[in-house]
Amino acid sequence: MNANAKVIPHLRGTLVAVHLVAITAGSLPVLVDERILTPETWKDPVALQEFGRWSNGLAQIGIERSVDEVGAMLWDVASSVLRFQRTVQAPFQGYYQEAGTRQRWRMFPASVEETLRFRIDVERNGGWETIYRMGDPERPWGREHFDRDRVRAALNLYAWGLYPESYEQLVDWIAARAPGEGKVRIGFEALPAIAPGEAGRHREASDWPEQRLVRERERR
Amino acid sequence: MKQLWFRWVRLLETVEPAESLALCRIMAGIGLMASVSFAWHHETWRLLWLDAAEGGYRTLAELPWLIRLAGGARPGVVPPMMVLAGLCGLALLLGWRARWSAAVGLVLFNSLIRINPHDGSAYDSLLTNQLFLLAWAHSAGTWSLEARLRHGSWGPLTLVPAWPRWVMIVQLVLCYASTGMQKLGATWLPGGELSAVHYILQDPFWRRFDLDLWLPGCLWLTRLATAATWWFEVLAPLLLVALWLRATPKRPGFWRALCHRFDPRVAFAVFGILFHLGLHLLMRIGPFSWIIVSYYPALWAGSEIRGFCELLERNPKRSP
Repeated sequence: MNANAKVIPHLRGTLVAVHLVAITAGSLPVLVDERILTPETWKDPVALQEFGRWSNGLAQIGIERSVDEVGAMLWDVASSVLRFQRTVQAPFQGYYQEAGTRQRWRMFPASVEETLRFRIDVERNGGWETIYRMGDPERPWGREHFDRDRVRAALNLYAWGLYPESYEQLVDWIAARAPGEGKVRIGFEALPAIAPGEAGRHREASDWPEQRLVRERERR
Repeated sequence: MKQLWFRWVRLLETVEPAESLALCRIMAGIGLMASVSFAWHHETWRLLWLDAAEGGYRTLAELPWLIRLAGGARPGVVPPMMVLAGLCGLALLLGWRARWSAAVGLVLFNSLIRINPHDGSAYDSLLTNQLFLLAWAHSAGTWSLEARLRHGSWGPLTLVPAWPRWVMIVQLVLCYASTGMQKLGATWLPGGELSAVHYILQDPFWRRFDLDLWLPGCLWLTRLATAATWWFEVLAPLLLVALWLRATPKRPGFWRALCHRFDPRVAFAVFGILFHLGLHLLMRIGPFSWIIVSYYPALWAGSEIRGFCELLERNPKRSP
């Protein structure tokens, strides 16, 4: 048996073992995504709503904790878990990036009692006209882009206040291309979702009482 | 410890018929083509993957080395790379230079998706992980152009290393278990109101249809779907235990006997495929369902898939 034939099985064994360790370390669950573990998001109504649910759940098993106490407790636990995960993953970061072995599997970790949808208005005849509304076939301008899954993934991040500079750049991009000559208004419509006990109903445009991240731009 | 290491090294030398990895390769090839074509459609790549100075919406500061080397996120760079990545997908589908196609496809696709990290989805990582493993696997041993050219047959019996298939199973389980363990919202957890799916299906970002009128009437169904999703994902590591029990048939034990009598992989795959089919029908999540299901053939050894195909060929209905 030549030297290569002796070495290769051990090399393979080492590489496969390192790969398994790397992907297991990368898959360690976190309580909260590092991008949203900020004091600001901890005060967000959606986060407070989630803490309230936890508070109620704990009360049901005899542990009385206020919403603030639950928030503080979750902050401590989430920070510790994230620190541990960062330490464990640190040696493999280059491997995750360049070999395509990233392991971020946070998919719908929590649902929210408020839905958002992206909307674009243009100024016409002294008023606002909606030219795009996510999921609305009667407001279709730009849907070939904004309905694509990759664009929706980015919009979803921006809707939760992440990467504000990129959101501003997207607003600029849209403003430069939207039809008409007046101002352009871009933002997210927010409305409480239909709770499990409520009757089903179609949520019309007039139902959307609140808008988020609204930006106005003069036409370039 | 030394003995354990030698057992590990010997285990990785296991070979088996190539059918299982070939199926994964074919499905991954389709997944790669689909992922690229979804971004190609309506020139969405212009918006997402070009620098603001070239017509995209973002100033792209940190580009992957390959994009930088090729001259930046420009119209002369991105589309040719997308076409090449799509051709690598086609080569994987056909089984031509499969390891090189997987490796080149991985480098290209991994560069494209990192141009703008904001548009990434879990299916990108699932696909790159699979391409990485296919770059090491001999997945074109059968059901491939390579097999046809080398053996004069599309489906020759070729023995290939089994370890890439095993790592694919671990990868699949890690993906499910990790996502399940991160579903810590009170609407997901057992004992809560199990309303997560009810709310998610109202989210205009992801839902395929407006079900606002019907969802409250289907509460029992969305609660069942919430619980089933959570338990399926969190308990996924048990699949590895079940596979180990099946791989050690000579040892005693009730659970081992049960795993031999009722193949847990069938239950896992049937539930998983129905789950992802439902997900795809109700939600707009790109090629996610297809890409994750492309790991499923790895649950069966090549010999089992080959045996199943032979059984089909011997089907009495087709006999003279």
